[in-house]
Amino acid sequence: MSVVVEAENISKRFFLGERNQRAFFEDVAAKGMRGLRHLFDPKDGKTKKDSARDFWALRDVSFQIFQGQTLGIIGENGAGKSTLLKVLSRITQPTTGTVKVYGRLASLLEIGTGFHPEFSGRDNIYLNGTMLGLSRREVRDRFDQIVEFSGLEKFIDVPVKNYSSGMYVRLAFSVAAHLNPEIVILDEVLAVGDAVFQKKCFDRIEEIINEGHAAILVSHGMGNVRRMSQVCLWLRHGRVEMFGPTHEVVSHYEKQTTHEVVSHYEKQTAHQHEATQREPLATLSSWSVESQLSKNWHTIVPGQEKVTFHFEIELTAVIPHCRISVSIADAQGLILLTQDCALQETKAGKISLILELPLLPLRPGDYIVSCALSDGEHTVAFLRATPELTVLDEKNSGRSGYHGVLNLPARLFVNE
Amino acid sequence: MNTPKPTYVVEADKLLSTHPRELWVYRELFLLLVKRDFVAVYKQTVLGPLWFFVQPFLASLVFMIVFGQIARLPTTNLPPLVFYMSGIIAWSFFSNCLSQVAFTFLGSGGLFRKIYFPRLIVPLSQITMNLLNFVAQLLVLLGVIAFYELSGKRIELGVKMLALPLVLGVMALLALGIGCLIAAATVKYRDLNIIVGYTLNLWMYGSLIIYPRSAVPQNLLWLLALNPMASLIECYRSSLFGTEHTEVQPAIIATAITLVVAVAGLWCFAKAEGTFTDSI
Repeated sequence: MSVVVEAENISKRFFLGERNQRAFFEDVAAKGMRGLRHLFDPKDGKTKKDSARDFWALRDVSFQIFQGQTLGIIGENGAGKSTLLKVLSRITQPTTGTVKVYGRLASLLEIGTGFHPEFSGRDNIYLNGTMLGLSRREVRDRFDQIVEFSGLEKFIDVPVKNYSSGMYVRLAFSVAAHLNPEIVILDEVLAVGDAVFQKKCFDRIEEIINEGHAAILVSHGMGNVRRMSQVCLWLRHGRVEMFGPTHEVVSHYEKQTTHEVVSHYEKQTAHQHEATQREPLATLSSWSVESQLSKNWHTIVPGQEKVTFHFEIELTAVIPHCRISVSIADAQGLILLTQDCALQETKAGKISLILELPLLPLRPGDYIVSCALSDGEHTVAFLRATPELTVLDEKNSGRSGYHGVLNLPARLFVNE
Repeated sequence: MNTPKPTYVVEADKLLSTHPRELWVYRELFLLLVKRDFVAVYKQTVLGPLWFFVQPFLASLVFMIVFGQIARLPTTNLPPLVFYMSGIIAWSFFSNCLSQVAFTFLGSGGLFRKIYFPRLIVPLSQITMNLLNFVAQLLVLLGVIAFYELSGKRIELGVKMLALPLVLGVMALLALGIGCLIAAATVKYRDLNIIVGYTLNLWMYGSLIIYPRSAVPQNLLWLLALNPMASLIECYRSSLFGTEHTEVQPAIIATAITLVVAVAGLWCFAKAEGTFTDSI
């Protein structure tokens, strides 16, 4: 397998301050000082101290993509994903490091840039296509496909300034979707338009990935990353947190986001509660889950049988009109179910809480289980179950991958 | 195993160099950008491309009244209209080129942030657009000359006209060089861009647009020698009409200055294009 993209120790520094007189004189002074130092000690010339206004968006990022692979790039907002893509696609230069790209790379960071409002759809297809690296002839060969994909046959000779915003993005995506590059950089936000066209976009994105030699996909949807990419790069504060096979990286990432989502909730409730009370009102001393198939404390096997959760909660104070609820959320924080009940006895002490579910048909992964106590108006305590609930991978299930959240005993067949 | 050559390499501390071959690859984008700029100016105007002709005419009329009738500056042996108009179209070619090139990063920043293509394509397409503009205006000037001819006034148009493309090329190169220097400098600090228009206006008064060299007092001639545009305009007029005597020395100095400025400008431009998106 030959390498198609090779990135070595890429770092990127940004200057965050405002450019004004002060910055200008500081610049000049710093350059002068460096020059002077260089005069006296030529070896010292290269060292440059970070100023307080410097910000490292990327730090020593290295990875390779081989022919036939799709790389998923994940990480929270501000982790450096966009900066990395800009470096790869030559839009900005790294502060250190090297990128080698073998083959024609097209990056679809944002569609429709470079469209000219006075130009007709036809002219804009040529303008945008050549801007993205096609020759006029290549655009001509793809022209009919592009127009057909966009569904704008009737309006192709109308200036795009008269297009609706929906028509505009459809045309833009259609051009971008027909570049047929060897290496493609895709941002999932590219899927645009109404629901039907969005579906078309997603399908086309998958096709592009399958057609090309290699692809780089940026996404927040872990399902898509799992499905489309084989290797995955997880960026965190500009550094590589993990690089490796997608399923490993994604499951670590999901664990991490689970932690963060929960600590966000905790902070929120702690904040609300701080105003009234100092001591925590309640603590979750232990929890467990059991089903017929697994007696392990915090894991279950995906199945269709009854699942029972046990929670031991310690109340330190009397909460009037207390209601208690249990929720299960996925790693992204999407709440999947909530069950609540009123607490009859509101005296301090131990409470044993049981949640019975006739079935819990979840796909494998980690889930956040939490209890919340409220005084009828506000949440007064948020208790998170640690460790998280893990739904194990079904061994030998014969199913190819899980899409979606639910894992129901459904049956799909052709009616004859 | 022999390793294949990368299609491109991005490296810190190296110029994101625009290889001449790459400019050629993007030649069709270049043509479309020329068309875009051309269409953009005259879309939704009543007179459309007629504006090419109206602008130099009006300016020449104003110059004829102010400098010819009121200030009574000489215009060699050319009719004032021809003298001023020839100067105005050449100067507006130069100054439009320069100010548009200087605005490259600020004007196309949004585009450059999203899509990679050799950045130099944009200034080159703008210069070409202005060149087309100039040619159209030159045709009008020739029309005016024909009118004078018909009404009995002789205006010599010599074989020297063949040197015109060369003179224009040097002017364009000078505009490109200075424009690139300003474009690179304005990436961090925009002060220069504010004074470009203003400076170009002042510069015109020192560039033999509204008066010939013969009108300049002896003790100020050294100032003209410092201004490459002065001798370039002179070369331009003499290649058109063969009227003014041109010395070779100032033309050589002007060309040398142009080459130095162009090399420096292109180098700074290449240096700036790697990181300018970080600060615009």
